[in-house]
Amino acid sequence: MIRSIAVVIFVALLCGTVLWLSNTEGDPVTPVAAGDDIIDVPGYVLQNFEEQTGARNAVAAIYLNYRVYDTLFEALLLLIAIVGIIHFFRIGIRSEPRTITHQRRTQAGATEQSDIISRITGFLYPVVILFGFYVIANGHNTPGGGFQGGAILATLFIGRFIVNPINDVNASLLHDVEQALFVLILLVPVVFLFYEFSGQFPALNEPFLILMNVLIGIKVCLGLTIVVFRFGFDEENV
Amino acid sequence: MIGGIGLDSILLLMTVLIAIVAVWTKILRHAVILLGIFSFICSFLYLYYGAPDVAIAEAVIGSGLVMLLYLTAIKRYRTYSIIVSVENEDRLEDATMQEFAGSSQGQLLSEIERFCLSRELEPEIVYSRESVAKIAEDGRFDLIVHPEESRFTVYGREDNYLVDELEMLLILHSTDTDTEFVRIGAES
Repeated sequence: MIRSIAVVIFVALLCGTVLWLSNTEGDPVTPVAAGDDIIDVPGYVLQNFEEQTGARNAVAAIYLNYRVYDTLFEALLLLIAIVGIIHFFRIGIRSEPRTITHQRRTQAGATEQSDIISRITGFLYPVVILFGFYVIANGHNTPGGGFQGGAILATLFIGRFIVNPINDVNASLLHDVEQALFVLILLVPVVFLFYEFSGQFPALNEPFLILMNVLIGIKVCLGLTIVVFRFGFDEENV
Repeated sequence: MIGGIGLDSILLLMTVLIAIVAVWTKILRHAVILLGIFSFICSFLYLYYGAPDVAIAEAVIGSGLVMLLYLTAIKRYRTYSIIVSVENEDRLEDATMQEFAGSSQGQLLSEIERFCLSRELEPEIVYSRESVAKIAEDGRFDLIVHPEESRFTVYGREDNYLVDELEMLLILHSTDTDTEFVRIGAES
């Protein structure tokens, strides 16, 4: 009883805070001091990103050019998470066969596939593939980018697993490809941005953004697919 | 603006309500679907606040990937294997199992079965002639049932989340037979 009352009071307070916060005016971003000059960072980015980076989406300009370190370590984070998942599932594998002799199953046939879901997934397959590649390839012009597009493609492969749980994915090959892509994701910005090719060849800016988005997209797609297939088939060797 | 309150505060309140309902739901699959709706509303809020990039990421991850991941996990861990250790039988025959199922101890077993079904689990009952220690060593079980002449012992893994409720169930239903519930640790 006391717990229920406490929960109700807590929820009421939470709702009140939400309403109060949503009605207060947020502060505009304060300018940042750099040396003697005062620089308005958002204003600077919004004014100059088109000519400096070749992108028409300011978010892409920031995560692939101004703050590319963030993207590199984000890619590393996902890679480490996947290595960890593979490692812990490998520990859990038991290889000896079941010794127990007699078996009786109850409630057989409860795991049948839903016809509606299979049909709808089959219908959506090409549409979602197209949308995923669109989001990756146009990440520098429209909202989206490598991570979002890769996640859309991964959702599709995982949806296929829900409909038809067959382990026909070579996870170790996918993992190797993913690691190779990570090396490329490190190399491309290091060579292009840190050696200042970006300023010398402005025509290469847009191809650089597209290349980075494609690399990140494929890497994220492979990584997330590996994770879900690990959850789905933890008994088979990888 | 609707009566001085913006669309965003209505959506924010909806997220709070949906989160509470998701916590209180008894059926896991409903909670997963509610979390998907929660992410969808969050994604709409990001769009409303002018962050379409984050909105796409939230929609794909929150209502796509995470939901599918949870559904896969629920699907995988739905089988609940109950192992009946009948040590003193010479041979395992269908008649032995039928005899056991008809006894009062067998009714207790079917009570456990019904409990599993109410929790969306598929009870898988395996009759074995191995000793309890050997089955526990093998490690592939959720519950070991060991019926004897006058006693009925149930061994549950202490890392299983159903253990507390199963112990209560056995206390409530053990009338004439001497029932004991033992928790054993996870495999070494």
